[in-house]
Amino acid sequence: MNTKRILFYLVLGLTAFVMLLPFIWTLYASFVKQDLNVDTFSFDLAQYGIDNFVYIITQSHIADWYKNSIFVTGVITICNLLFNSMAGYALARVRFPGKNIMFFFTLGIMMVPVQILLIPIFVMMAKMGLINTYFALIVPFMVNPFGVFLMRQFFVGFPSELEEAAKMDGLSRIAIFFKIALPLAKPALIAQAIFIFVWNWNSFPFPSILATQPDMFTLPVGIYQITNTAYTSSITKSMAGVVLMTIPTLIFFMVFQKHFMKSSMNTGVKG
Amino acid sequence: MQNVSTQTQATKVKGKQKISRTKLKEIGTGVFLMAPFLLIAGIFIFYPILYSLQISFQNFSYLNPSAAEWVGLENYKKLLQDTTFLTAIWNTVKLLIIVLPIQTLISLVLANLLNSKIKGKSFFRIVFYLPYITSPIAVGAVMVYLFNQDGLVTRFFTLFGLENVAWYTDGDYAFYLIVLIIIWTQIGFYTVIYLSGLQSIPEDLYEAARIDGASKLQQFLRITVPLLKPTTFLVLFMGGLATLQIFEQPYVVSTTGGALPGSPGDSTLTMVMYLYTQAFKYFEMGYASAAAFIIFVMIFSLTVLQYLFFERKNKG
Repeated sequence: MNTKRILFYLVLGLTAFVMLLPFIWTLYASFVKQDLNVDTFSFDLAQYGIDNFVYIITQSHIADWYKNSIFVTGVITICNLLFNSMAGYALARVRFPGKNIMFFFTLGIMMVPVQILLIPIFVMMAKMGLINTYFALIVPFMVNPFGVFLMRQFFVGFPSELEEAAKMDGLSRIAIFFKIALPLAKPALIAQAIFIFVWNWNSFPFPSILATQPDMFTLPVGIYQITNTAYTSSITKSMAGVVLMTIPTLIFFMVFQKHFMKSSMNTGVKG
Repeated sequence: MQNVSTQTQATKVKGKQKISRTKLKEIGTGVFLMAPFLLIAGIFIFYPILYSLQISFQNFSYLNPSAAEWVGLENYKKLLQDTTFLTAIWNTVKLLIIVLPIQTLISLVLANLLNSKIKGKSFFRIVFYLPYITSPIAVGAVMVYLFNQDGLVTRFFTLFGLENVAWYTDGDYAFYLIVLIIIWTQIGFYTVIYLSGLQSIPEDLYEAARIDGASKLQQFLRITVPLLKPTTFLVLFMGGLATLQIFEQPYVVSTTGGALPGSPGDSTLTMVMYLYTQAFKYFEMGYASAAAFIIFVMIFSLTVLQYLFFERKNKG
């Protein structure tokens, strides 16, 4: 019994080590002053410093990228929460002609792999002269069929008594949605928000074609420029960029980790 | 008699009018609530699919869009003879064949270990999950250097007889670097999914097996694995879809130092990377759209299959 337990901990601990190693190494490498020393650990403290961070912050557009990422992801997340919930509520609760068709439309586009949209969205934006604008980086991503589906499932199981009571009080359907249904949908909204946020924060293919000027890049596109072009061609400076980019995601994850687990668990229960 | 019937008719008509007014209001509400979603999804998801289909039948080049001409099935014909595209498909399928069983098995084992009576469960869960939410661009960039010549992990693997080379530049090693990155990224997510599957297995099944004298291994093979079959299907489907669409990590790894996407050779070229490169590096958008449609059909069919599979199960 005891040896088995030790074995369990050993396997789990080893896996945890493998998972954490790249994070720890990146943090370490970002403080190493010279690329030459990155693969040889040393106790000589003179080898370490914040030079890489200073370089990235002063020599790249990282402040712009931060600003762009926060603004773009923020607006996208808020719009998704609002629009997906509205549509989800309508599909679950409101009676109108063509509802079934719209539900199948939602399911249908939910199954569309986003890669097929890369070329047409780029061409559309280029034709309108909207490359390198917030419009191009935000508007196509303001709704998400997954979010609509999620909200519909939530509102289908939502008790109707509250709505009935509100109707008695003379509230309109739309007021009921905004004042009663939406505030009570908090768990579903959080589940939606975290995934929409992480997807868009980490999104690379679309921003990389819709923004071509360094001051319009989002963080992933900017970091790609740092690590993969002649921008710095320095390992340690690249790692400093990676650290600066990853910190917000990690903080966000730590704050909401319970919700992340819950949402993933729900996916599992479905299966 | 007559009087009564006309009266009821009158109330009926009145009632109908009332209903239709509330109905109209209800329809208005529906339209208002659906409008933003339908508008944006229509313009930026539905229409682009049709537009993409149109472009795929043209020799559309972004550098000279007005010169686009209809070429029929020309792009598709050319694609199916394009050895680079076929290599990209083969690489993606190879990834699928190697990654899926390994990551599914590891996730299953990890979930079972986590489901036992151990301390620090939530710590392990969080740590395992971390790679999944980290930007694939960052992950790719870091892995390149961990698997660099003299890199930390490269040196570790030399203990097992592997060579001290930069994995991303070596024709034999680069592909397996991608395999390792995908597995490292995803197992945490699937472990959590397996965990939820495990928690839905009733405890008394194990109790009964214990009374019958079944060993832990027998319990695992005879109870856990069969009862987790639906979860395993889900993990395989989701993992399959994610792998078919893999792009960022191999893209970052292969383009390190300004090399061509998919390098060395075409050993790390994936389907989506091929599409991205044709469209946005060579601006052959008609040709790339045809590739996109072939990829679309492959991924879409797997998604529909998954949907039908679980839909039928949920109903049955």
